[in-house]
Amino acid sequence: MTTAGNNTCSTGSGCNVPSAEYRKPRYDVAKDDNSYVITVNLPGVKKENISIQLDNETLVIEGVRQNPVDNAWTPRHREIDYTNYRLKLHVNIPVVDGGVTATTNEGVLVVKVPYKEKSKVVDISVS
Amino acid sequence: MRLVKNSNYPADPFQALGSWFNPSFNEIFDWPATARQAMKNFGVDLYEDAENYYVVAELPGVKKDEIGVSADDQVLTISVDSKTNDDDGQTEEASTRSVRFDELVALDKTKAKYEDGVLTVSVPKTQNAKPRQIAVS
Repeated sequence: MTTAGNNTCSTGSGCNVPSAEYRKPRYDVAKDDNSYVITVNLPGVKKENISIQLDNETLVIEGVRQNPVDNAWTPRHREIDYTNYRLKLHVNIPVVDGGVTATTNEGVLVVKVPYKEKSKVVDISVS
Repeated sequence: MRLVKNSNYPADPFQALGSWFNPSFNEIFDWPATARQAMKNFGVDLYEDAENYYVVAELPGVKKDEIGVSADDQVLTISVDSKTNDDDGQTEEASTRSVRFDELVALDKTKAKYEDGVLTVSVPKTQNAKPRQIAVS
């Protein structure tokens, strides 16, 4: 699984909004027995503001941040980036149809992408 | 109001301190940062309005009961003690950020809210700290 298009959004599908409004979230990809598990940090994003789309070989995860900061507050020191998130991953394995599941907890999204088993290697003994 | 880093304070109270490996430093050099590493130095924002100071901390993946907010003298400390279970056993990570207030604040009336991995702490200013209009007679 590789990152497609890095932070920039090329003229592919799902690019309705200028790329400057998005940034790539921090993420991990792990593999278990039958699926890839993608863990994405989306702090400040509510469950209903997360969208996950799998289009052919591209998985697009987007999160719109809910800014806790009131406009009336005067900033004194800033480290947090309130830009919305977009992660585009190239999925170069056949995925089980309709098998992708996602859960979110405390600002962390976990997406499970189950993949189809490739043909198993069979040992053939020579008689 | 300023972030505390060890016991050394710079001359400019609003200068970005963070730590040696603060998020901006990582971003400049584009170091590989995975989801789990992000927790080690969590980001903190400081704001104020007429009534309160606000401290916002980004803590993705941290459970509510792993967060500690404590107040001592004029220092507010946010500490995180998170445990993750994986194949290699249990990993425990602890990190702390502190904010020192230069003026009197009502730390006993501090309120904290945690939602979607973002902690917002509000610290009311005491009467002395609020700007007062003095009528000229």
